[in-house]
Amino acid sequence: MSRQGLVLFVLRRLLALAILLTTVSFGVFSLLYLAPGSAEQVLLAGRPAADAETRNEIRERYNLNDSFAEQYALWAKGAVRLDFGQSIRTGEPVLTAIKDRSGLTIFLGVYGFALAMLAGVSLGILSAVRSRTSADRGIVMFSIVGASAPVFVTGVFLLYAFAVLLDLFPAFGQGEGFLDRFWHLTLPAVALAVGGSALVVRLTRAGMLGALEQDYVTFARARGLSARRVLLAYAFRNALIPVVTAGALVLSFMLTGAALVEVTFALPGIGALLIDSVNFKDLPMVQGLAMVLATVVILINLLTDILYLFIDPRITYSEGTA
Amino acid sequence: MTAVLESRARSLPRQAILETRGLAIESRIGGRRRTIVCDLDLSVAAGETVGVVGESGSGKSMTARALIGLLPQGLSARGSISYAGRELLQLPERELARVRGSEIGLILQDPFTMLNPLLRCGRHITEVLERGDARGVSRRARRAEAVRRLAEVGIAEAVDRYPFELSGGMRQRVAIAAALAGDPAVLIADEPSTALDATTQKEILALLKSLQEARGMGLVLITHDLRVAFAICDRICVLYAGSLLETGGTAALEVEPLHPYTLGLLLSEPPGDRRLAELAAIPGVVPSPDDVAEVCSFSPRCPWAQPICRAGRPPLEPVAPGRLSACRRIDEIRSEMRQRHATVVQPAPPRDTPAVAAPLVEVELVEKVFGDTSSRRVQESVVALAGVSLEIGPHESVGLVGESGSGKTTLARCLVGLETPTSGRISIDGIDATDYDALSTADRRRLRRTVQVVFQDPYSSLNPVRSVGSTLREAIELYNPRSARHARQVDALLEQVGLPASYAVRKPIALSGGERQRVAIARALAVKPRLIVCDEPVSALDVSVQAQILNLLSSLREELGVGYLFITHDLPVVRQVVDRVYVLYRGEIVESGPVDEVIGAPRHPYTIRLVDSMPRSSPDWLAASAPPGAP
Repeated sequence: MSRQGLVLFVLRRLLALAILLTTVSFGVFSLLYLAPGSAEQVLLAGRPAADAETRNEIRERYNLNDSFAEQYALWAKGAVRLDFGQSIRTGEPVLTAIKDRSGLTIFLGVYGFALAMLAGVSLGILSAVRSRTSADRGIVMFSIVGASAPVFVTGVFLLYAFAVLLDLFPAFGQGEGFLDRFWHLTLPAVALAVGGSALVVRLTRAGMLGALEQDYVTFARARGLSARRVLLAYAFRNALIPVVTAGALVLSFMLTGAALVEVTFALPGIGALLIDSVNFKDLPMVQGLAMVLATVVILINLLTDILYLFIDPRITYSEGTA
Repeated sequence: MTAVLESRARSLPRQAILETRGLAIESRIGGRRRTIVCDLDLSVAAGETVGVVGESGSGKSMTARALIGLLPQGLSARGSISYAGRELLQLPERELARVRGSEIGLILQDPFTMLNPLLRCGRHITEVLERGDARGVSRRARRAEAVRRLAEVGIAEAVDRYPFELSGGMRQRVAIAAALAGDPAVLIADEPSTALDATTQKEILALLKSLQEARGMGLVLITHDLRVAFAICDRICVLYAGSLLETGGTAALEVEPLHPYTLGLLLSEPPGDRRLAELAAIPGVVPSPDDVAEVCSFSPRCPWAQPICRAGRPPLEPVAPGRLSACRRIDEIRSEMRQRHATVVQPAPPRDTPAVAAPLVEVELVEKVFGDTSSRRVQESVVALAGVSLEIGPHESVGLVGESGSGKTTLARCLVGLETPTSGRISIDGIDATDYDALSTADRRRLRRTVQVVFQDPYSSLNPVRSVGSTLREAIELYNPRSARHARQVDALLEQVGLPASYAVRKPIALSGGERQRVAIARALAVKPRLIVCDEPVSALDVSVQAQILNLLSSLREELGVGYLFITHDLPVVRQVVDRVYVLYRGEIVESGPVDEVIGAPRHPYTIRLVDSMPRSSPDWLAASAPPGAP
């Protein structure tokens, strides 16, 4: 695919991203609008006897008296200037709050992703190479258990086993400095990684088994290439497309999984922020988070599609497929 | 001929470089042990070309794999394979890997799956050069070497291209260069030209032969095609159901085969230079080696079989100078075989040309363009048919010959309404059949009763979950809903195609390829069509089975008066079944006429090249190679 074609492809996809974000923002906005309860009820929750004036003041401040369309238009006007308003709960600007919390979640997500891919790919290759042995069966069994265990169950189990019983890792806190943080976030990252790695194991194994049966692998071995080269440059590279697809899914899952893991391990990341904000009906915050998360997921997918191009020279994105 | 014999005999070196003794290959899947090959003695010397000829199920491909120590999982080899004094079966994997590529090379059948789709062609060669101690060589020097190696196979320009950018023949050249990158002393070629078009096949065989001679390499050519083996081998070993039935020098073996199977195989091959009244098909199918372990493996299908043939397995014994045969009765039946060889190849009298009548099918200037035809993307569209006109008379059998990509299958699909031509007109039995969708239901039904189709691959053209009987019943009911005697009609159809009525309850998976193709033909016959479009109906079948199906088609034509549009790339085959032939090249008819005239005296350069590419055993066949790329 030509460089120009690639640029066009990316531009088209970015346009699609803008359309998608608009749709998502409108969807989230309407759902929150329709959900029972409103901001002033939450803000006044502790003071049931609040007078009408206070109530009205709050409604005015958050534009709650405007029509739905006006409210959305007001929000959208700010959003295009990357101003997502202020949190109802804390009064902090939404973007600042998200920025403050994102460091932890990014660390956790990347850590978990790396663990999931590392374990998933190596176990997947191992199980394909040793197919029909007890090692293979054990790995397949692990992948079934891993795929079916919910993140919070894995999390609680890990906490109990490694923090409480063995006391190898801390049970809470996010640590100071890189190494300390690394140590603190190991258990949450493992909890996040288990489900994803199970998926990667299965797809790697299936892809490798398929590739190892191909004529080009036989032909490579017949030319006396080393076992390592046959395994990596031939079998694994050809099995890479489904693995990368799984990688994108796993990375997206790190975001949704973060909500569960951060609550389980009491970590103040984006996931925890999202849950708090939804509970509080903190509409600007939820809306802002939804935008950020949607953008990240869409960009991950775009990145995956571009990655395909580098893996397989046969793939091109012609006009109309974007 | 004798001169050739002598010169070949003289060039025969004594010392075998790769040799097997009592090689046995077994599979063991789920605790069941099956024999693939047993007691196989093969040898090849430096500078010698040995052909291993066999049909599917003979074990020839697994033998090739065993020779290089690459049997698939679940298969194991016993006996002895020695290379230059070393016993390969005893070698640990690490040392065996060093033998592969630099001592013994292997190329496989399918050029479309043999190369790594993600690596550039040049990389396939440099990665072999990089093995072991050659690491010090600079990147640029390695690349130059890759270009030199690709130039040796005539395709230096492919060095920076990916395999998917090349045609099958070009990919096979790249594969050959890659297999030879480690300069092996012996090359094993497993059906290296089978997946290619006739003209490309000849180029690849000529290339292999010239490389073998230039390098003084031993070449083991594994093939199902005796004609190919005759054309390039010094010695031939005939493999059947896992054991050797005959070996001998090529010239002597071609003149007089000394095993009934070899004779049968030879006679099953439709000759390219004449039409036979009937091909001498071998009845039945190749048995599994375990079913014939204690008897002569060919005895169930042999016309000369006697009780003595079933008393233990006959050994391969010398029967003439330089000739080995596993036939116990060869001395008794030798003259009979010679006689049969002589009579069967007698040409049939020329067919009467059918009386001139209004044509059943008229195709006028049909064009078919695939892809987007809008002006913006003209370069993305593919012209499959560029104004094709042809006629098929009632009861007439017409051939359509062309290579892959010539548009022959597209034309067939247009005729039966599976594609709609972009322009032009098709008329069948007076109905305008250009666009099946535009027809009334009644007309469409009439067309389908007039023209039926048999596809190439009998393994995918039958619904695997339905029994043969229900497939046929469906075809009958569709056009004869009121008929009540379906069961009897099914039996009659099966009998017509030479299958027992008991096959009605079987599922396709329980049938062999030839039997499936018979069922597909029966399904086409169910509506009593006047024309059957046969799209490469025998190219997926073994030679002996192919002859059975060709004979069936001929006899059906005589009994039922059904006509054929016979689409094929195989000239000898088309000569046996059709009256007239059209030659299709890049979407255009370049030549047409009575089949004997077109094949006997081709006029268009492409037809000449096609006729020239039919394998012949004369030594000048490979030498007289047209430059690649010429039409």
